[in-house]
Amino acid sequence: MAHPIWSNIFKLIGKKRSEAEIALKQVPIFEDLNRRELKGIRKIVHEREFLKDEYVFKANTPGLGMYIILRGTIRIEGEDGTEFATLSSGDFFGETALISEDKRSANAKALGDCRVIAFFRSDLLEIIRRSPVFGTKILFNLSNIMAARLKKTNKLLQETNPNFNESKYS
Amino acid sequence: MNRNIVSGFVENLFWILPLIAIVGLWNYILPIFVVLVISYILYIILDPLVCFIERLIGLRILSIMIVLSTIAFPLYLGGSYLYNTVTNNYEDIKNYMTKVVDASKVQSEEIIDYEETNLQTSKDINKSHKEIDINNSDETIEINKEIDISLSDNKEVYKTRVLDLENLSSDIEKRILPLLPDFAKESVKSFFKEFQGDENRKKIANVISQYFNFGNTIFLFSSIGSTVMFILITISFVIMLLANAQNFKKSFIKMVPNRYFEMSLKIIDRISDQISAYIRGTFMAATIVGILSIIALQTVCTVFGMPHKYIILVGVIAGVFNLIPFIGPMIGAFSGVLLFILSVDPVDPNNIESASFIIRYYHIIFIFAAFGAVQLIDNLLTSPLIISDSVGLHPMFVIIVVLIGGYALNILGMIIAVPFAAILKVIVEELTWGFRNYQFS
Repeated sequence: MAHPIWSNIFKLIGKKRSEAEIALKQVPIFEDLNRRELKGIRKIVHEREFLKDEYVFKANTPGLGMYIILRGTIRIEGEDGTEFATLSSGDFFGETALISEDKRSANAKALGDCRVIAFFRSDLLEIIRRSPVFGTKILFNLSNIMAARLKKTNKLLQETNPNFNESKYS
Repeated sequence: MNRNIVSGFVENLFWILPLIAIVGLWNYILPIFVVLVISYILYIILDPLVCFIERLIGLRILSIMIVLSTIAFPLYLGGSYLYNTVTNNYEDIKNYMTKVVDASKVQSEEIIDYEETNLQTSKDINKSHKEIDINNSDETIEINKEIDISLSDNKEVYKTRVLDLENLSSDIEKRILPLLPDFAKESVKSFFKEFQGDENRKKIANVISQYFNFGNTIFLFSSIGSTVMFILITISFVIMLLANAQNFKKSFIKMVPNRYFEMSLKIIDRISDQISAYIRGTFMAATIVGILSIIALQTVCTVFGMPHKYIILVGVIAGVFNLIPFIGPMIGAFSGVLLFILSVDPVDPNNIESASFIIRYYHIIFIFAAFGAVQLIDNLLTSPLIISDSVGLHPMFVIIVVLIGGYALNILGMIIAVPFAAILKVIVEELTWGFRNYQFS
């Protein structure tokens, strides 16, 4: 986190940030980007609005990238409709699709009217092509999230199954 | 139910409207379309360079300026040199052709007859007009002038379109005199005699003038305005594309309804990836083949002391026609041989010793060997490294497409037919891929 004095100065100098930029800054993947980089991301991402009961994506379609919720709630559900999670503004989902081209494992359905930001693999590749330093930052953050997830999953597995040995699977 | 149809229609407006606009305004769009295609190709070729510099200095606009300003000068020099050489060579050959045609015109009795009858009819018309109204002369003179002009126009058309193949063959024969044995000479002569009938001659002349008609291309450029205007528009388009090509995609994607959103994005990405790889690859392969042809031809001609005035032109022809698989390399090799024959001075059959250079059959073989070597290098080394295999077209399909292109737009059509077909194939393939992998409900 930036030093409070500096952050105050930036607040005075900088223009008011848009809703999307603030939301982007909250996502761990983009958290340590500077203003210029954040602006670049802001130019690249797609902003879209989904109506109630519309699908953001469906299971078994090719995964393209991640979504960040600006407003509204989105339900992640299995193909048969069993609920996995309900996400609201500030949350993000589908970030594994940024790395792998595998098919989506779940549906994402809008519970009410919502506004989301979409950030796709092709955009990430374009960033890496144009400015590798910037791209590495994002990739590093992305792998941090993945590592944290993996740790959490391992822990859960160990709790539910005492015979589970991590070294067997790594 | 009705509402569904209406809303479905409205949802699809995002592609229906642009399509209607393009089809309806096609004649007006065509010149601009050429500019767009050229700037898009330039964008695809320059983009990796700009990205490379952007990685070093970090500013997109600045790197675009650096790239454009650094390549502008060498590109201008090289381009103008190439342009001058090629136009000079082309003019040379055109002059030669017209010379042969003119010579045939003088010999041809039918044409003289034709001119005489024309003269007679115009005189008759003149006379009759004079008899009708002598007083109202202004108008009559005007009409007479028009008649004269139209008649002489007719004559011109007839003159330039008749190509006497016997004349041409005997002229070429003088250059390749010792090449053929006597019996073959006779058969070649009789072969050319087959074409000498008036009907046949007209037919052939029509075909040749059709194929050497670059009017289509020139029309496209002239309707944009001057060349300077054309260059300025292209450069500004290229800069815009280099600066933010992503924005064009983004604003199109914005119009796409939610349920097609991911699919259309994915399809657009895949199509643009493949097309840019294809264009980059073909362009590089064509350049390499052109340069290699020039080098190979120059080497062969220097080593064996053969005169060849049109090496650069042959290189350009070989490079450009290399866009057409299978047929293109053959056209390149044959143009190399043909222009070699034309650049040798005619030989006097009674005084062979005085000739500066006499073509032997092995000279032709050397040239074919040079082109064969170029094709070998191209097929074994450059093409597998450069061109992605994703846009593989069946040989038969290629020939059909080239014929259709030639029918529609002559030489220009033949050259652009294959890239066009390849792009269409990619689009169709990706669309089917998209509809197979995404379900709508």
